[in-house]
Amino acid sequence: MKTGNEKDGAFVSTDKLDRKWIDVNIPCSAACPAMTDIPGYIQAIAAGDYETAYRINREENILPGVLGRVCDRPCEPVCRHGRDGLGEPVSICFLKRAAADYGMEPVNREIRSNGKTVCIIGAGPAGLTAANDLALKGYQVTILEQFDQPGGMLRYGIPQFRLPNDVVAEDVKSITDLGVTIKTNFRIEGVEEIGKLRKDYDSVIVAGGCANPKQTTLPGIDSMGVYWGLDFMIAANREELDKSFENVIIIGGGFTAVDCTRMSYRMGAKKITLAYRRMKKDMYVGKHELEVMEAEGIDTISLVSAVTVLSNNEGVVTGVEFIHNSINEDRSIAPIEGSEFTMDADTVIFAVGQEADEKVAETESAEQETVFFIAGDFRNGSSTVIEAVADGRKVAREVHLKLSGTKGPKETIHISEVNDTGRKRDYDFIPAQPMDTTHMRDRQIKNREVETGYSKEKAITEAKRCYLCHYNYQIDISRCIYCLACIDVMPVDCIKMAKDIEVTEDGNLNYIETKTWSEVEAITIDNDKCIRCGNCVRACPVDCISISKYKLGTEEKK
Amino acid sequence: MKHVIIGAGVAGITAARTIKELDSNAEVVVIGDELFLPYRRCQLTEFLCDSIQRDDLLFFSIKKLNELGIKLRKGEYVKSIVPSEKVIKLHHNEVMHYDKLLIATGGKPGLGLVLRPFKKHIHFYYSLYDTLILKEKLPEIHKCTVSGDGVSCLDLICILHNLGKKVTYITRGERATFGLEEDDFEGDLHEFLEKKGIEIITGEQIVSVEESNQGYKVETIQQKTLTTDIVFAWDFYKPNISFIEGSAIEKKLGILVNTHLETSEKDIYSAGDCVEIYHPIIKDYWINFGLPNALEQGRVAGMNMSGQDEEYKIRDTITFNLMGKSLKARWWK
Repeated sequence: MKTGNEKDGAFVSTDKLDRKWIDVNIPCSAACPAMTDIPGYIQAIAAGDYETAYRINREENILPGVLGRVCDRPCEPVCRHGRDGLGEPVSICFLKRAAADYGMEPVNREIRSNGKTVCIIGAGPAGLTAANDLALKGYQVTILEQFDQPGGMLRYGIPQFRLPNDVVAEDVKSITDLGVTIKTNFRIEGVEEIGKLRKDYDSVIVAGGCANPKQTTLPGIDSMGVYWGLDFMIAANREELDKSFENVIIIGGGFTAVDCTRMSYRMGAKKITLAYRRMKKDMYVGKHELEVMEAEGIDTISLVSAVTVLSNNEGVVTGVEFIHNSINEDRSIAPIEGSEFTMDADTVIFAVGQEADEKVAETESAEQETVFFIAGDFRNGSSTVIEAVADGRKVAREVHLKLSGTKGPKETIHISEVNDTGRKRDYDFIPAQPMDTTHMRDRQIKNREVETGYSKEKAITEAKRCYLCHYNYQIDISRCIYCLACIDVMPVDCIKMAKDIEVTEDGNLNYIETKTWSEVEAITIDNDKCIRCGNCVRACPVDCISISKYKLGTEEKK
Repeated sequence: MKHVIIGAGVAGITAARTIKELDSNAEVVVIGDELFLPYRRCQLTEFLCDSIQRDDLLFFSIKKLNELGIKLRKGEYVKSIVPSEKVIKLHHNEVMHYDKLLIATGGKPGLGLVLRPFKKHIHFYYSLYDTLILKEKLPEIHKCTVSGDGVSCLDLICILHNLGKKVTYITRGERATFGLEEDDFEGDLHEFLEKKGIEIITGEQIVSVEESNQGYKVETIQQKTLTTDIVFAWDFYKPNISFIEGSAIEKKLGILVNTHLETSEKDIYSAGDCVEIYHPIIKDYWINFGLPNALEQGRVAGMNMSGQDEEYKIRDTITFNLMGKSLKARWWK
């Protein structure tokens, strides 16, 4: 551990080995595109301190209420609690929501204006994140939004039964409270208009998202009753659909397709079918989304492609002709000749992806300019909310770098010594806490949120399950007397007798486990297996086991 | 050559026997999650109504297994498959190597998100274990509530009715079809059942099951409340293949195989109710079920695993006798 200086009682390290320790040992944070301090806020929840939990989460994730509901959770599949034989991963997303539900408070930070102005086109997650970060650095930020409310896809693309409008509004308010101005009903099109903006502002960021549904050409696609997925969701969210639905077919395999099925259910459809050209496991949605959809009685057919949209003499859709697909060895799909079949429908929705607005996309060539940037889905193509947030942050850094002339931020690792983590072995046996949901009979109320959130007590119970991977347990070999008291009390196979110890240049600790006393070179703790219970620390007669807490931070290079 | 067969049902045991008959030196291990000796699932109903004895259910005796040299490991679960290393991992962390692997784990009922919290009050009708429990409870049961699809659900309703129980069937659909093509029944299935005295509630769904003084209280999505002595419910009946998750074995609802019953992974075969195969006659994917198919697929898989070149000829229909009427069934949806 190379320590540069000390801050708030913690050593501040810039050593790449310490940085690597975080990536290897805190898998949830490492998997999060925004690198959120997940064990940090979960530990605060376990202590019942929701305000601190919210504050820690809000540092990296500026939309805690939103992402506590609709994050695609890259953190959960890598959680150590979900590993073989250890049970279910911690419900990180549900906990994030609990922190926002019970601990939301205004961002209390002193902001000193630097006199510079930034204009952001698009008030979606990327634009809002960039605005948040730049406002905190003293920039005067103005966001131009084409719709009548901020939020972008959060408000118009995602249905309210997953993400209520007031949750979006609260998270947006925490950003406008920093002095960010949002001008709604303000659409910017083309290079010329952006050119004008560049005269008025020191920097312009285009974060226009991917608001245009990808279109496909099929015979009969112009029939009445055929919708593009995103258009359908926007119209439904803006209360602009007054048609009744009976029998709906949705074609696609992403979040929008699943949202369209569930929205159709809420709009009274009796039979809803999701058709996808590949297998269920290839769909872009998580297992959780599929389960919730199936619970609402929605069928999925896989390995089928739409061939023709069928319509009657008046041009009104009556069904879809499909063809079965086979899957080849290279995982490509091919239609099976002669396997066509038809399904009846009065509404057909194609949710086959979305893309950036072409008119604005022309501006991409101008990106080379020093004060013009593009961010989020507009730059990367359709992605997830958390990826858009991470990209908004990245672009805000680039803008600040250009406008301030600083050398950019550097990552720091704050390492503080603690005596006890408070975690107990019993916590390992707490089962994952299920999310409470709206009763099935109320699911057809269009905007009623389905997941109702954890109670405070349930959140604390779930939070206790976290292994608190941000604690590093180490044995000081120079003081160890090899008494094996720690091994006697270890709850899992987490402390090893090691031989042939080698520390590689990139910081990996390699050793071979041995049971033969004469070969033992050291006793070592396997942080990958450690459940942070502290039994070993309490048992050690010579006090040679230390616990240190690792936290990632950033500092501006001078 | 080590052949490992996951699933000790009719298809798995038939494959084991076929392999041993072709090559008595081959090592054959069959892994089954149930604690019973291999039995015929399709005869459970006859056992329930005492038409046959428990021993008559047996499909393969210990003597026969010993004679053929088939090693049966009962009560063990497979956790995962690693085709690249040619190993399977068992629930108790044992790692077992295979040269050829057969997956013949059949289908299984399951509950979705809504009914899962009430699991302890809900019965399945699927295994010998379920049947033994039901058999014990039968004398105290008068009113039964059933919700589910497929031939096994229809079978359950009929046997409960024949045993003199009052049966209420709840379905989401507009009619009771049990996921079958109605044309395959001589007459209308829905009306036929109603005439027999079975109460059918359509367009409904069970949303909660709670214990009450008189058995159980069932609530539906339209806020209807029923009291019943026993609840049978399942949201789906699908191939029991969760352990292939994470491997590259392709599946649709069931494991996809070619007519040699080979999966997308080399040296891994699949047979029985857990298989999904494209049927050129009906021009659709389908999941075979029933004893004749299990026997045939077990035989074909066993031959191909032993290096023969045998093709599975897809059967068209199986005929059931349903309270005196004939029901043809092709597949479940």
